[in-house]
Amino acid sequence: MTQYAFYFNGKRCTGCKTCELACKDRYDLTPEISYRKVFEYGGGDWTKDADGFYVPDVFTYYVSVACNHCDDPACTKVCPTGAMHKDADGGLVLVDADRCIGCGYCHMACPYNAPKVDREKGHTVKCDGCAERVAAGQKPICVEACPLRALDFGTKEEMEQAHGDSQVADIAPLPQKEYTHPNLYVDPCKHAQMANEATGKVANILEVM
Amino acid sequence: MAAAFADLPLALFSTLAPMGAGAFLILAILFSTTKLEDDGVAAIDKCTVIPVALVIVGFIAAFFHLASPFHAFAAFTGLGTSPLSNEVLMGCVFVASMLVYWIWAMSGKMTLGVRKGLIWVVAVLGLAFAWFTGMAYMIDTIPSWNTLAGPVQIVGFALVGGAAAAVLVLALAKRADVLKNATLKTAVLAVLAVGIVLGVGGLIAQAATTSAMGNAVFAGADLVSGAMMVIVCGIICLVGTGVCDVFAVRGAGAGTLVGVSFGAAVLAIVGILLLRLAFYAMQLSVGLSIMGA
Ligand code: SF4
Ligand code: SF4
Repeated sequence: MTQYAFYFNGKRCTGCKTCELACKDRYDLTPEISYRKVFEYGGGDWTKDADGFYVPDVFTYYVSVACNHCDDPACTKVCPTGAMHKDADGGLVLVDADRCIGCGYCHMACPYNAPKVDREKGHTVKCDGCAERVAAGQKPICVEACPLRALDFGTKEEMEQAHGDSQVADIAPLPQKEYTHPNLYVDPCKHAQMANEATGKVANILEVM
Repeated sequence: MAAAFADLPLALFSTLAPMGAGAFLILAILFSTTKLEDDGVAAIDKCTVIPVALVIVGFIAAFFHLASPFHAFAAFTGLGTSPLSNEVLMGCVFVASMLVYWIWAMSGKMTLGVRKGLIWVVAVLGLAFAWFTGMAYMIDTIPSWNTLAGPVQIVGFALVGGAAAAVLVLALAKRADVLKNATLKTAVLAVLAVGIVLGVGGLIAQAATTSAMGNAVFAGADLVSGAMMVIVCGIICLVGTGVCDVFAVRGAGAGTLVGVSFGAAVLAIVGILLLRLAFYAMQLSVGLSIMGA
């Protein structure tokens, strides 16, 4: 079975949010809804060294995330209607708008903050991996828009081959990968913290709600 | 805490419906232990509209929470896998049994034997529905909710709120005498006490574990302290329910009974609703789920 995956290079991302806005533009999203979000994650402290100098270890970095079309999705497990389902062909996790009751259970369960109920449309909306573009042989719009070439998309095998150093996403502020087994490969930047030993906080909550 | 108000329809549902369901336990104990004349039974049946209405209004509130309520029939698809499908099924079975019981009873054609059997079925299904309502929040990516303290709370609220609703039914049916009956009195007091212990105890246990958690967005301790005033007010209301109902079954004269039991029921609704909102305010994901967003 083909399984599509995203790739994110934390060494390149500057947190400019072009990916997020290109997606919003393409799908004509309202200010309240973003399929892709760029999290600003930071932390650190000052400590006094032996000579009495204060040494900072503050850090900040960005992580751009949409739906990761997980192998073990939290969203499909809780969905009461089967509207949230994993497509058999490319492994993309999609919403069947005709079945969705808009209960928001998937939104609660997803630890990547990906699905959201659009009350006007009457169903949940989220990233579908630009399924139409992908079927036409193109990359998702976010990937093509990124001015730093920090994103990529393709089959799992293609991502593993093209980005040999990357690992399945397990860095903060994302949850530990074991929860849903995301199809997101990450090249972490040098300050990146592992999800299980994170000490920082998301600094731009209002932007990613 | 403010974000929890986005979940107000769900908080109303999980307050009113289990409360109505719990009332059938006291009614079941009543009909199995107390001999009543026909007009007494008829008056109680009429006033049973109160728990029935609580359940129905609760379900209507849940319906309004959905973005597409008219697809609701699809909600059974996830039976066995989605805790929400399980809850919806349990809720429908309970509501169906409750309506069959009540409509049959109101027709005046129900024999005492059938009544005694059927009302226990309704009561047990009602408590099972309350338990399943709590189970629906046990999601492994939300550790602050993924605890049996959740279902325990809702069963507790069903008991204390249900006892208050049932006492109001008897007061409005002018059956002050049955309330003074020793077995029923003991049953009401025991159900109230167990309900308060399970409801408040469950919530406090949950708050204590949540305080020790955190993710990249929230510290659990901040969520708990943000909800603290609401929790305290909720507990005060539930204790108030207990006090009013103790007065109702022990001392209140016919003149004050309706007022006291009405006060107890209103305090129960407000108290449970506050504690439900506090529950929603203590949602803490393993990752980035941001409540109300
Ligand atoms: S990222 Fe969230 S919405 Fe997407 S598949 Fe995983 S659990 Fe589901
Ligand atoms: S909002 Fe729709 S897709 Fe999400 S869990 Fe409910 S029915 Fe499923």
